[in-house]
Amino acid sequence: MKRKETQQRDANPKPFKKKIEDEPDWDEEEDPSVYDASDHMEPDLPVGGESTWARPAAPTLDPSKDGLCFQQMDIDYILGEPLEGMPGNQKGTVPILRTWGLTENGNSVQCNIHGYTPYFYIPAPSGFSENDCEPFRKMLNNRVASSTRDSVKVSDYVLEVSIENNFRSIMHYTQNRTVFLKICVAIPKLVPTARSVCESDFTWNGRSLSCTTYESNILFPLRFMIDKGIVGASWINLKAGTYRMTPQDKRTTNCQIEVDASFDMVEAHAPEGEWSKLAPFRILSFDIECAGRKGVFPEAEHDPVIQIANVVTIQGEATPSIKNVFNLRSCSDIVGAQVLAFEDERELLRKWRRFVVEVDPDIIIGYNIANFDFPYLMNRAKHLKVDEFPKLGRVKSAKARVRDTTFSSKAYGTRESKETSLDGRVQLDILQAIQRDHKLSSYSLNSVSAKFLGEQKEDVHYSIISDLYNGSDDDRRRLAVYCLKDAVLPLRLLDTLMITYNYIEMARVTGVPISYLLARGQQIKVVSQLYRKAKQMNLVIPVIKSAHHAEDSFAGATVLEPQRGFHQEPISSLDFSSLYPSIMMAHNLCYSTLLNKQDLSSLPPGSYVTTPTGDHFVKSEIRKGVLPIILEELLSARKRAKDDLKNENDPFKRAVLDGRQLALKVSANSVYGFTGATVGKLPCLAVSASVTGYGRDMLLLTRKYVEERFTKLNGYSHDANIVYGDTDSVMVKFGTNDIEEAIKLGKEAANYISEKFQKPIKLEFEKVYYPYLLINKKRYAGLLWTRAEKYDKIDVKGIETVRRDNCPVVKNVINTCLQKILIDRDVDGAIKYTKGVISDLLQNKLDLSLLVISKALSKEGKEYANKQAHAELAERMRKRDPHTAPAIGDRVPYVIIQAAKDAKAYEKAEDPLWVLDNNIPLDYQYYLDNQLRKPIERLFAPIMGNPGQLLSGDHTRTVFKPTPKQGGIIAFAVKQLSCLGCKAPLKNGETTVCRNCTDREAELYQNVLNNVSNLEKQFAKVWTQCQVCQGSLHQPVLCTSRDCPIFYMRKKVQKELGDVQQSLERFTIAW
Amino acid sequence: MGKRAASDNKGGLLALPTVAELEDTLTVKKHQRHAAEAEVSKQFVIEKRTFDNQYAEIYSHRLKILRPVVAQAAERKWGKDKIPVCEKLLQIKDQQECVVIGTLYKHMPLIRRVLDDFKEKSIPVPPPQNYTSDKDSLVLEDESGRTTLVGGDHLGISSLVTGIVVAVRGTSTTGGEFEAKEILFPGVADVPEPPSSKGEDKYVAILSGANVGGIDNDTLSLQLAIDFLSGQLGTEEQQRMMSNLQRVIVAGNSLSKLEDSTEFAAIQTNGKVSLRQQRHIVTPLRELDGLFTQLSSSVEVDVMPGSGDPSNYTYPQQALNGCLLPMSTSNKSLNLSTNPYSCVINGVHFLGTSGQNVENIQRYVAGDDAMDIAKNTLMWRHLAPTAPDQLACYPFHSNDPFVMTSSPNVYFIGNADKFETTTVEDGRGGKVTVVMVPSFTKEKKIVLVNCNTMEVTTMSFQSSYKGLN
Repeated sequence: MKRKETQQRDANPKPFKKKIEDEPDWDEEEDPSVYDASDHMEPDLPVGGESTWARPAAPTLDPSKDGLCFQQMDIDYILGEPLEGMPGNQKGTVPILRTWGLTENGNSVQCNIHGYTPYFYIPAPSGFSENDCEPFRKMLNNRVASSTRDSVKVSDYVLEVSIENNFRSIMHYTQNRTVFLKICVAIPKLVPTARSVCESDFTWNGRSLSCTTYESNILFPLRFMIDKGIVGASWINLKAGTYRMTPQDKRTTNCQIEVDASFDMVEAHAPEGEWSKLAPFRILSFDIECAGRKGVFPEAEHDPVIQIANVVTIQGEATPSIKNVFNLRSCSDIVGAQVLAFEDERELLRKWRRFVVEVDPDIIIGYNIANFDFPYLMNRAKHLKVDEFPKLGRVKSAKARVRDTTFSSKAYGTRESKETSLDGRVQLDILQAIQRDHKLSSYSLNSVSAKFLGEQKEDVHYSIISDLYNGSDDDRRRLAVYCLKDAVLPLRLLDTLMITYNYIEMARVTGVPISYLLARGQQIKVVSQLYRKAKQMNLVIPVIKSAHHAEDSFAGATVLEPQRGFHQEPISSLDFSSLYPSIMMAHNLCYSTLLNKQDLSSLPPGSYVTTPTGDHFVKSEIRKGVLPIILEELLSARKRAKDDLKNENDPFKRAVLDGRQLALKVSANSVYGFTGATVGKLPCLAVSASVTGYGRDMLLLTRKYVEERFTKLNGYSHDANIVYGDTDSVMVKFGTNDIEEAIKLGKEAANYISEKFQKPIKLEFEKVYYPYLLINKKRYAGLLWTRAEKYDKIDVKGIETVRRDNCPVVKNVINTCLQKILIDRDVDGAIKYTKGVISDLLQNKLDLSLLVISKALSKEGKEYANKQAHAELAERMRKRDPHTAPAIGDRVPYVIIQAAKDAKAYEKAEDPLWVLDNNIPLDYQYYLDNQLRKPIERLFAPIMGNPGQLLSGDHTRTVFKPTPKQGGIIAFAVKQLSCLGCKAPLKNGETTVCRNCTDREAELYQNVLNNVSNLEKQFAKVWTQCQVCQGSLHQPVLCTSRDCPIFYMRKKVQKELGDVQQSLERFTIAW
Repeated sequence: MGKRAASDNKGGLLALPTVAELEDTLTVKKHQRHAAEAEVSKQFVIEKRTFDNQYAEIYSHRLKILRPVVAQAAERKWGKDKIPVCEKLLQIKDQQECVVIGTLYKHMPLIRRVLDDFKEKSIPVPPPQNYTSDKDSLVLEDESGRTTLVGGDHLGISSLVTGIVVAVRGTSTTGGEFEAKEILFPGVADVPEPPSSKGEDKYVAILSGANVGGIDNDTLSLQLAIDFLSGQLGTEEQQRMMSNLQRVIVAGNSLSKLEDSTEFAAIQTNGKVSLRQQRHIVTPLRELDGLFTQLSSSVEVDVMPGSGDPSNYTYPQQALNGCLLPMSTSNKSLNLSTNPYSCVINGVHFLGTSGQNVENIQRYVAGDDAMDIAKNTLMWRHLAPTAPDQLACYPFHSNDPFVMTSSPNVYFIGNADKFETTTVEDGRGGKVTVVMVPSFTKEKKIVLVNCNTMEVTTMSFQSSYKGLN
């Protein structure tokens, strides 16, 4: 939903806070304001010679003969004047829905939809008749008028009250219909006002009343889509003669085709068959560079935008159609990309805006554009007084604004972010999309690209950016190439992760506009489906005040006590597929089937079920629940999609289908959560508690069935044994040593047990773990087999780790150990390896990058309530060199160093580069005790008696003690050469060995030489790697990506080579 | 021709000299040798090694020197006015035929680099002997940027490697690639006129791959070769020939590689050396020291390090440290030199390596043998184009000592699999004699270059010692 604030367009630049949450705040729609017609008159854009920017020309349409069909990408609304000849309210301000999209040929379309009125329901007061409607409307109108604070230019607030006889409430099963009143109001904003009047009290027939309202908290555009059966990203059809072209002087947008239509003439194609296709939408990916001052993260008030790189692709085409870089100051050419140079930053910003408008992207993507690029550009433009810059959307006069939003959801956590509204363009910040769908230890573009695209990206620190910018044309070109790469990578991520497909399919499946998917939580998707389905069944949905009490919480899923240990026999894993959805379907659990206790007596016994939690639901023969129907549709649609996927060869269509089946799965699973979300839209604990209750019972029953049937008594070779079970899966040890047998028995057991449960509950055999390392509840690892010939992979649950406060060495050790234990079956090897790593750690032989811990610096050190290691370090680094110290928003990498005995933990963090330069000893014991100990002990506990022995013993005896370069007693030490053989002080004239060791000189020399050679080898490896990564042999490597695994290695090898070279030279001098 | 010499000499090399005989020959020199005029170049000597630098400067310098060379070659070949030469890669004009000059980068997907070790789920695969594949592609680069070269098979991509400076004729495509028609190399640099022959034939001997301390080392044959070079063995004729031996070049791998031995691994991890290990390191050195002492007492010897010798890892390898060979280095006629090695001996320019440059290139080309590659390096005017990208190299400060500003008279590559020799012309009548010096361990041969005629012969030392048991 987009909001306009045209009236105070330039007045107050301060971003205002707005909460968008899963919690029920999204009914408080802000009012879009009426457009000022004088603002439309912007001269047409000059085409600037960049003929390739614009869309293909649109055909001239004759609405009386030509139909118009387009894929809509977003729907929002504005307030405006009623249009003559359209239905609905004809006086005062009316809401006009705007849908944005494009035709099959790639022409942009904006359709103004008129005549659709916001409404909601209340139960009619008793004895209400047709004649009461108008008096009731007047009463309500007056009440609403008096509670409306802002001036709203409407003649009537409440437009109409009518009686609806055909509805029931979705809550509880009853046979009787309730009489409802449908209350229509002038503009969407009045719905909440009217609702609170109804909820608090009103006077009717001399009685003071209050009532629950129904369907009064649904977003206006979504309400419209539900009523018209339009789902997100679907194709809209306007038949010839049902729409008109918006007259040129009334056109408000830059879209090629702008039309007006009545809401009842709008038709939508269900996104199936031919209509599942995608229009050739234009995707713009961009990235900006700013020239920051030394040591300060760029601020829009001070630091210019020096480059904007843009890449435009058209959906379905393999290569980008436009690639360019907007440059401040001249810049050498870039092969394959257009370079635009500007002397004036204002000019650059103006031109870029024109570029965006001309290219007219349907989707704008980038990496962290929501929180950085867009706000920065907007603030910069404001600072430079480039007034027209914010007009980036499709509405000619509308200026984009940056708002702070807080998004909080159980599933995704709380996240503060900024939102820049661009009318008619969908924004997709790849960073946010990845943060939602993937749990990673680092979300920097570097590490995300390394993970998903398999390539490292060089990282130029912003302190270098200014240097390059102030250099030659070639330097700026170099910068431009980075910038371009940063614009290309989001596109490649979009492609590789099929983000477009997944989002579009999710929008279609759940029925919400694409823009809701990123900005909102899971609930709106369920709401959209629930409303759609309820509407078909003439059910209306009450608005329930969320009231959360602690006692409302209910027992969750059950876990069977694990038999911890290293299971060397095959363990068959049996899983209930889609457990919670299938329970809801099997037992017909829904709002609409829930029985009130007092109604039980009126029903014949056997017509309802009693759940393990003591709640009652009618059986599906009496009435099928809405939720089970939604779930059935979702799951059968998923099955269809999966079947189609099997038969489809076209990679694009496959991508669509795969995106769809995934969306369907996620949606099905979120229904259960919706009923259990106590602060949600429509919580119903009777449903959710019953679901988990059934789940617990089923898990216990499964154990019983398996252990009763698969016994020696029944002719099986062993007694089966359940080693573990959690929520929807049980791990069975059938006792056999043969994988094939374990698979066979697994299938047999799955079929046998499935029979015992109500359909569609189904237990499936999925995989065999062999061997299986069961550490604890929710912590296990195993070698996974789905067929007897070859294992699939190592499957790890709950073991280390993607946690960022673990240094990489932990992950390395655990991964390698798991490989050795599970694949090689070499427990001794794993033990030996672990000891080796520990011994290397204590002797300073590990690569430093393995020991680096990092944390984001989110605020100044002083602002942290407690002293934090990384914040204190950042402060210290600033004192050393403000140029390279981390600024707010940076991640601060650090290592733990040895310090005085009573030093606080936060005093022991140090910059890894500083540590390298100054030979500062690391606190190896810290790494051993606080990083490695627990994961190692946990991992080895099921295997060996005393895992603690891994962390002590012979291999921990040799400990590296470097000579510090500064501080402490070293200031008073006098340097004297000592014999390289026996460490005896050397006499004058001797540089390498003492008299007694002359024999050993050649040997000692070779020792030193070996060190040098190994380091030289490493030096050559890492520095040539960086040349390859940066894609240039002729330019020096500038990258400072601390996420890169060889960054510290690169520094360390240079440093150590210098040191070792010195001792080597002592020999040269001698000769 | 070398083989003939080898077989001819067999008759004179049957007997094993006794210790007494050896001691005797050490002191008595039968033929008086004339000291040669020789000047060993300091081209590959690095006075003070520092590692603060990166590799970009090497490429910049290489291009700076070779750009005018290929530019001229291009003008000669394609006509200055017909096809314009682009100053910078970035100034290529669309759709217009032109010549561009830059450093080649051959993208080879099979090459594993250090970052590949960090990729998740990567299973370490043993590195292939050869990294070529049909997915290899060429990129041309200069200071201003790079462009991908397309143009199919006729470019001969399989023989090309990263790091050579070339001129390319072609047209840029709309997609920003460069459709290459033809690739031109700097060509063989001018060969200096060798001195006109005067008097008796003079010889330079080249020996490589002595491999002392190695398991497959044949001590006896080596001793025979040393004796021969010292003028102690052979027929009268041969001994007279040896009296005209100007110099012996030891082209690397005098010691066996230690890297694979278990002792070596133990040293790597503990840093402590047991007596036994110490002996392993030092014994072959002592032996070598003895051989060099013997040899250098009668002839000037230049010792180049090779991949197995205790010198630094990066190219160019610096001279061995005197402390490794305390006895022989006290002899002034033993020169510890660099690898590569450049020396003018009696007016004849010798340039050679211990073999790493060619061996390294061999992994990145398909179908070319060592001799083809050696000839190519002359044509590329560069000893080791794959340094620093693949051949580990010292990060030079604005310098690239491997560029051949002129061609040598004799160009030798040590530690080759087999002996081979040929000549390459510089286009102005000058000839480079290219010699693949076989590893002594493999072929038991030393190479003799006649400095007057540039004729190359070999001498075999197949001892009958093996037959004794």
